[in-house]
Amino acid sequence: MIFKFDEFAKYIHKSFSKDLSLDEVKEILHLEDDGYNKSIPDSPQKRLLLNRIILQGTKFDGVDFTYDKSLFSGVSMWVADNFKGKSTVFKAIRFALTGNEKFTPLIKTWLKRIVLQFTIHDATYTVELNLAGAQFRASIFDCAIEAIAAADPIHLFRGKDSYAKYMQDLFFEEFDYYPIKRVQASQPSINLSDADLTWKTYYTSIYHQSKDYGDLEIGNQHSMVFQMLLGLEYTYSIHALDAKAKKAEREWTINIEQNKVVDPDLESLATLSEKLSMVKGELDKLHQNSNKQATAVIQESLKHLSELLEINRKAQFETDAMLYRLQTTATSIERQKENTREVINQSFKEIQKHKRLITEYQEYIDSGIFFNNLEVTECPHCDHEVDKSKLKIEKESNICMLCDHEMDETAEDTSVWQERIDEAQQEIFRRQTLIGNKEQILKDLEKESTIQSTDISSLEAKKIGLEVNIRESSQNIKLVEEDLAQLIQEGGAKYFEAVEKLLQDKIQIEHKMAIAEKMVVSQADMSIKRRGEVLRNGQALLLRKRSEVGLKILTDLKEIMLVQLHALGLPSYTKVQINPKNFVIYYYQGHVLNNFSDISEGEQLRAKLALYLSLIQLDLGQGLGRHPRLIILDSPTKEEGDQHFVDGLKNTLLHIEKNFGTQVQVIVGTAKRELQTIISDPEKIEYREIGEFVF
Amino acid sequence: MDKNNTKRYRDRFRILLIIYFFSESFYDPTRPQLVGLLKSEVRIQKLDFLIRYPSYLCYELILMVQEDPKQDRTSIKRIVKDIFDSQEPELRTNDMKKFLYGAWEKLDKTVAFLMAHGLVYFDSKRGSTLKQYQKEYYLTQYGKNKVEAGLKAINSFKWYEQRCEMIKKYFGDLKGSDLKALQYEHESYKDALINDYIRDIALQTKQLFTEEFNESL
Repeated sequence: MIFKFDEFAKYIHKSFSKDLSLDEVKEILHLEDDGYNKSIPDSPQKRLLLNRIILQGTKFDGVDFTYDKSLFSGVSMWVADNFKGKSTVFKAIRFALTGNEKFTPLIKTWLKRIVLQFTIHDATYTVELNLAGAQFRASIFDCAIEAIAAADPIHLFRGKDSYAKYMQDLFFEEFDYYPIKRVQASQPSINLSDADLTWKTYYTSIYHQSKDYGDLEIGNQHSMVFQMLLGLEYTYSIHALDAKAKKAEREWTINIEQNKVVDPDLESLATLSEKLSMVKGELDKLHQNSNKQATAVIQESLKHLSELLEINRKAQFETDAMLYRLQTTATSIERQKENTREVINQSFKEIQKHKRLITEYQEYIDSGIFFNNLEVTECPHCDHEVDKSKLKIEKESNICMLCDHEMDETAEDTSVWQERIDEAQQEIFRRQTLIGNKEQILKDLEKESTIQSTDISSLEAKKIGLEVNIRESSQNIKLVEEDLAQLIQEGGAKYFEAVEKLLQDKIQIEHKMAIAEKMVVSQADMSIKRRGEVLRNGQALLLRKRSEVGLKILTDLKEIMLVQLHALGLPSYTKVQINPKNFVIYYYQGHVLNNFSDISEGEQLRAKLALYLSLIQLDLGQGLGRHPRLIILDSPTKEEGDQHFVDGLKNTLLHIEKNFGTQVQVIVGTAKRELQTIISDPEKIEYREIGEFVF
Repeated sequence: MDKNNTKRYRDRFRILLIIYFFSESFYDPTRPQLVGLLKSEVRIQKLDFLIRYPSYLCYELILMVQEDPKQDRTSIKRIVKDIFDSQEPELRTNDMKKFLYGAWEKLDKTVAFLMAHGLVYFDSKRGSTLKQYQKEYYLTQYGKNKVEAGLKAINSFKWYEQRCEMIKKYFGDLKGSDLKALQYEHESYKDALINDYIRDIALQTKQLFTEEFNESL
């Protein structure tokens, strides 16, 4: 969307209509090179991929060397002892890409030629740097290394400056970069000179040495690099107006000094002293931070509640365990009771069965006695009387006179049946004794069961009580946490804003006091002052606008960063906050707010990587931002890196390879040999034994 | 074999006792050895049923109390209580099978044995299909003497004597067909399949007792 400069100028002019015309305001606010339309967040969708590097030269012992290494997408690694050439390779890459040379004097004497092939999106470039002669010479080709012998370069360079400028123009053109406007004081001039951010500065988002990891501070160049990489609207114009405003303010200050003027707007020393005291007082208050005190009290209360909750939970756990044991015992007792009743019932049935048998046997014996010695008097077949002589024969022969079968004597042996009766009675007695025993056992079990029941009821009541306590404690904790979160939210963000503002006010007042103390009197050229004010107003308006339009992008970025932090093994971070004015990043761990410098050293590299990976992800996912997707880590663990840090880094690199391997190039140089295990592709690892040089 | 033997002997003296207790006096100068007459096999079967199922007997007694206010409630209540207190339904029930018209068991061998030993005399008429009908069971003098001697000397007989006298007191005037009708009111009796054993009704009898006398057995 085209910036509506006229409307912008008209809006700013309203505050200065008494002193300046609209055209004068437009002239003040004017930026060259269409500055207001430079910043667009849309990604050019390009990546920088290094393909091959060649180093050639002669070492101090006169031995020539050629180092030729192909490079690939994803994670690659150089593993070698320190001071064996890893950093030299990375410095050669940097030199080739930026024209910025940082070799040690010794290496400078060795290196004769550097060739680097790289692609930006579909375009292949090869740069060839010749360091042999007195003057630096370089060439750039639009083809691969193999073809440069037969190809004409697209440009030739004599001198590093022209080479550096060309490379800057190339990358700025390819990635839609722009130089963020900046001014700084430079000796011997008292004026501010331009110190625009260059490609060399932006390269710091690619190349990271171990000593750089602490650099993500507010006011640092990296904050500006971050802003440029994210490319929110108005970024260029905000910094451009800031630079112009600083120059105007500087000019105004010098003007006052040189012309010995008194700024009619200048307040008296007494007034200024009073104001300074007030500001200092406010700062002290903030530092004491009643909010912090209130927070501390609530945190103490929270701690106490949490301890109480823990005690109750422990008690609940113990109660559950005891309840389980009792219930298991109770179940066992019930089972025993059931079995005992079963035995008793069975015994009763057996007793009845044997009583029946006794009745049967007794009746049989008795009926036997009754029917014994009865004689057959009548034939059942023909109803005639039976001859008495036949009876006699039957008695003597024991053969039935009717059917001639032998008669069974044993059937009339009552002793057998009496024995059976006796056995049955014994069995009845045994069973009765058993019933007696079992009934006693049952009684004891009932007693025990009653005790268990009472204990169980009591424990269940206790358990319910504990559950209520736990529920109440949890609710109370939740309420207190909400209060605390609200307090911190209100206090935290406001705290830093307030401190920043007060510090700025303090600086301004002290500056004014310094001037007032000199007691100079003269007429002032207010137009210079007004110029600065117009620029500041313009900058403030664009900052507000940028915050509004960039809110969603920043919100998305913060969410992506949090996910990345967790993925990189930093689960304790719960929230990321980015100051929309200066892009300082805050990291929350629960309710604790951290600047980058507050983060432990072992986590700083990963926090930094999380930022750049998030920018890359924003680019890949939403087409916003413009990181070149190349990251070089030189000695990420340092010599004294602890194991936890090394493990975190391993997982980080594996995560990058797995999730970004086809879209990002990460090159790692390390002396930590255990890191090599994460590289499975032999082409992506350059391994040197102990004491061995890379080249 | 043992089981069959015991059953056979018990059947013999039980049927003999039924004939002894439930026959009416008889005199025929042509047959002076015959002293008692019990008409119809059906009657024997039903009386045998009442002896062999104490719980049915108790049920009938309680029904009698419910239907006839002239009956002696106290005596009947005591009888039923005694029977259940002695666990007679568990100890004394002697299962019978159901045949076409109710509880029935073949008596031929038992009667043949008793007849062969001169204890009873059996007579019947045959119809045109040679099926027996109008069966008559006579008690002989020898049989009467033998039973009376046995009642004095043999312990087991005491229970049968008391039971038969009790049945005679309350049910003795009922004909076989009346008893059958009474028994057919029970579902357990009515619903039993042919050739299945008739189930005991001790539980239902206890419930009826509780309903009638407001006490538990």
